[in-house]
Amino acid sequence: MSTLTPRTPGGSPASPAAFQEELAWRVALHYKEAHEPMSDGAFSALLEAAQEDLGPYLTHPSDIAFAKLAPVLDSYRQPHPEDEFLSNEDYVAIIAKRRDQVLAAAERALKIDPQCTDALVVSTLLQEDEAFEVLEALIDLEAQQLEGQELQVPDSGSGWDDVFARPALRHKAAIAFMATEAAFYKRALATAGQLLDLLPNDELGMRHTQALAFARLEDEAGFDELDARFHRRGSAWTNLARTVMLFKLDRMSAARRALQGFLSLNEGAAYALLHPVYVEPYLPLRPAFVPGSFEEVTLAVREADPLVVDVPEFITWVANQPQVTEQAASFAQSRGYDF
Amino acid sequence: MAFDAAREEYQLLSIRYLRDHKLTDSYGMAREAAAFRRQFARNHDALPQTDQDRAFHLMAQAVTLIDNELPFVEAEDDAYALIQEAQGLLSESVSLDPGCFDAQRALTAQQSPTREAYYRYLKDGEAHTWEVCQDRAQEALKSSQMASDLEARLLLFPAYRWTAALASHALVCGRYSIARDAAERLLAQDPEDVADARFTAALAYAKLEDGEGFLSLRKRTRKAHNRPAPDAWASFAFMALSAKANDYTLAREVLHQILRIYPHAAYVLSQSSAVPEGIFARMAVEPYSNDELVLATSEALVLLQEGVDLKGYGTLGAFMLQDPLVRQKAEEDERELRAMLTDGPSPLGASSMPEGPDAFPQDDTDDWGLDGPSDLLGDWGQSRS
Repeated sequence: MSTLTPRTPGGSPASPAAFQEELAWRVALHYKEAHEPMSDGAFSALLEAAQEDLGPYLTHPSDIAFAKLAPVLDSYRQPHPEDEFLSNEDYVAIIAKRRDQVLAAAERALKIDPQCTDALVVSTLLQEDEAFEVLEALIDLEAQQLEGQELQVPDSGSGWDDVFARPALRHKAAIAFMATEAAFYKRALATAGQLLDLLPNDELGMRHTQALAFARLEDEAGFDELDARFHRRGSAWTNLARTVMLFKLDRMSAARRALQGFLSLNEGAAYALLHPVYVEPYLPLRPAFVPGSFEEVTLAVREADPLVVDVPEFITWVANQPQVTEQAASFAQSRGYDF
Repeated sequence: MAFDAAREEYQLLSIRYLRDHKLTDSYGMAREAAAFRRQFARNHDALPQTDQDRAFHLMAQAVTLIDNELPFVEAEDDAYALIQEAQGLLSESVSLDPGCFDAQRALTAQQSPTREAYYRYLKDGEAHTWEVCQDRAQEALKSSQMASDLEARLLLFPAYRWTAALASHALVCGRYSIARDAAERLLAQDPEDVADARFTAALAYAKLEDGEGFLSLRKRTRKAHNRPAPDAWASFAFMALSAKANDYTLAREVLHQILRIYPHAAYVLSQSSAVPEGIFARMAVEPYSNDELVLATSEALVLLQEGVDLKGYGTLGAFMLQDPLVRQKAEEDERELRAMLTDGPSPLGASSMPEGPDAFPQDDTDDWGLDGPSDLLGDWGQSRS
């Protein structure tokens, strides 16, 4: 049994059970609050016990509400590779079913805690409205929820360490995603920028969102500054964004090099770009992915869609570059996908 | 202001003719002007003209076929024949004068397999076009003949049109900084903005979400000739910038202003159709006419259709279509237009008359609050926050 208090709460967004881990932390912290003083050793034991079985410790209404939603949100974020082999009809039915499950869980959560941020955010995201209307609703909701307070960077250095701040941080991330969807790129930049200040380790992947926005706005200086800030660690997002940006700036040799970078980083990158797949809406965060995977690049391609649509000759240009269609075809073949 | 190939040719040849006849007194001028008009109409080939003039004439005929006749030809065979005829005229034009850049450009536009290829051609050929046109203009000025100033100006027009085409094609290709820079180059060269480069510039600034840049453009260009009220391009740009700065109230005001300035505006906005571009230049239309709004809307589709939306209209397109006033007016417009088709044109009822541009004087008053603090500056004026 550990005698040290785990310093950093678990529930990194990369984890497949991120919401449930976060829930266990919330429960343990609420319990600790109600039973002070509590030694570090006792807290560790409490946390382990809560992770085993929440039941005896689940008393705070906000946690009870969150408990209705957390498992459903975790499940929604999991990859579903079996979907690829469903008929179109069955696929449409199953994604509708998943969305309905999230909406139902959100409604149950809100009955217990009408202020449950995650429930309010996913309910808003699931409204069948235009992207800019959903964006406006999320912005208004944030103003109501924060009631004039600013999110603070805690002394430990990352906003993510405060589990109780995470719903508000996810809310902000949802705003950044919707702003990109609605083609409000400066809004996306500003919101993602706020999150990067609050989360220097970028737990929510906002540098990817900023990369897309800088590229769309042809802001090469901003793009470069961002790249340097994160030590030039590329991702599917930054490589695709850089390629589109250089194409837009008519720096074609540099664009060709950037494209090679994009194609070499992720499995199936060529296929993902030439044969975009449907990506379910983020509720409210990106699904879990393995860096360098095909799943990752499909997300980047989906998020970059508003950019690519604005550059009508981009995909044709990509397809005409050497080896690209061959790469796409061979990947499709290896996975048994259509091409 | 717009370009008109036939009018331009007329101007160039009239200068040629008047110089040839070495006139000085006003009675002689008036008589010869009438004679020139008759000859231009009936015996064009006999007019004094250089090879360059002949090339321009052939080009003018070709682009008139393509821009003014082709859109209305229905049978495919007829369209094909028309295109062949136009290409023949263009080929003859460039063989007479390889420096007839309008003809060169038109030929390439017809033959380019993709927008990208045409864009590349415009970009690569811009410097050379300006060099040659500026040389010719200099020659004309140095000759110090009658009307050499006007002639020199006309000789630069093909270069203006080249850069204007580059700007508008860059915009459609998603290259907004390049579009903006090309349009601004034109404005620097020609403050009168005969090419209406400010229209393309407005859209480029809106795509770049550059509120400061747009407002600076407006301050520099709003007192253009014959433009008492904001034009549709500037209105779309301002509407977009306002919405993106989360000021939907202002965006709506600008939208409603469009409805009051342009006739049957709501109908045009609800259709949001793309119309073919002029191969010579932007089609010449009457300022503040329904045609102008159709043209502006078509060019602004790159702005209106961006963003993911449920029905494919784009964020701003959806914003416009959902507006209750737009919907109401669109229905009224449609009824009126149908009635006009069946019953023939009738005087527009008082309720459907747009207030028109004179209701929005932009010379004296500060339209859109340009001289005061603007919602478009502040956070959204910076590229990074």
